[in-house]
Amino acid sequence: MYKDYVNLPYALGTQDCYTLVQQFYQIEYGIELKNHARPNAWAMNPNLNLLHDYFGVERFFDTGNNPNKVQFGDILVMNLLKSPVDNHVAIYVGRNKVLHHLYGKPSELSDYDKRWRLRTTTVLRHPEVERLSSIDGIGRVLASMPAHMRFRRG
Amino acid sequence: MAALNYIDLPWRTYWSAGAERCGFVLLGGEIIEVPNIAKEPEDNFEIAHEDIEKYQGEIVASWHTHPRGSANLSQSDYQLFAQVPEWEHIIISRDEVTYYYLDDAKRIYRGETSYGNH
Repeated sequence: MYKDYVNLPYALGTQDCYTLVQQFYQIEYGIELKNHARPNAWAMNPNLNLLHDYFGVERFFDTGNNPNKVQFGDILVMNLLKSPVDNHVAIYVGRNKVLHHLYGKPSELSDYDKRWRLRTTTVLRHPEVERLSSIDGIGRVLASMPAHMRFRRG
Repeated sequence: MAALNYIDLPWRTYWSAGAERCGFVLLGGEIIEVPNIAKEPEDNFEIAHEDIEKYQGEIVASWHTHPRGSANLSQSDYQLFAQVPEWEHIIISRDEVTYYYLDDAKRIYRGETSYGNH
């Protein structure tokens, strides 16, 4: 599952954790997120709080960081290696899994376990995703997606 | 006239190892190269004010090379581009050419990338 999103090679600015979110939102929701510039080593600079800035510009809102209320499509903003600013994002895809692309590694599907939960600082949601999920619950959203995009049940 | 796609200009001859090279693209697509007056030209570029004034009004984009690494922007590029929001900004590395542009709020976006055809 999600084979289009995993094992992609890493390149800052063109195939990184934000690019994976762009691709996911384009394919799953038809939502275009602008390609905000990510300068080299930006997360080492405390003045470049880019993930929060950029997702704010794209109208994502803070849902509160409640692990029990995380929904399909939510963006998990993380702080890895005690960076001065949050420096990583993952996409929650249900069934306790996240899609993400770590610096210098191929993109991957991981369990959303303690390792990642402890590093999540903020859970963001796009208003359109909120609207879709409120129409008839998450089942409707899943049902509207092509079969190969969905997780197998059971 | 169709919009000019700057990454498709003949950039190959402008990239070289060593110091960063820099200049402008003028209306109509002419590439102008000017001296890089940065103190550490291997890692930065800086254009003399006179060179900017000489082409004032005709410049539609800046360009500079990254002799090492990718065409992703550096933090100094990020600061510099924000000061000239009316231009596009092209970066040429050995393997790729890309450009950056700003919106009315001076936010910086990365445009398309051309690989290997320049």
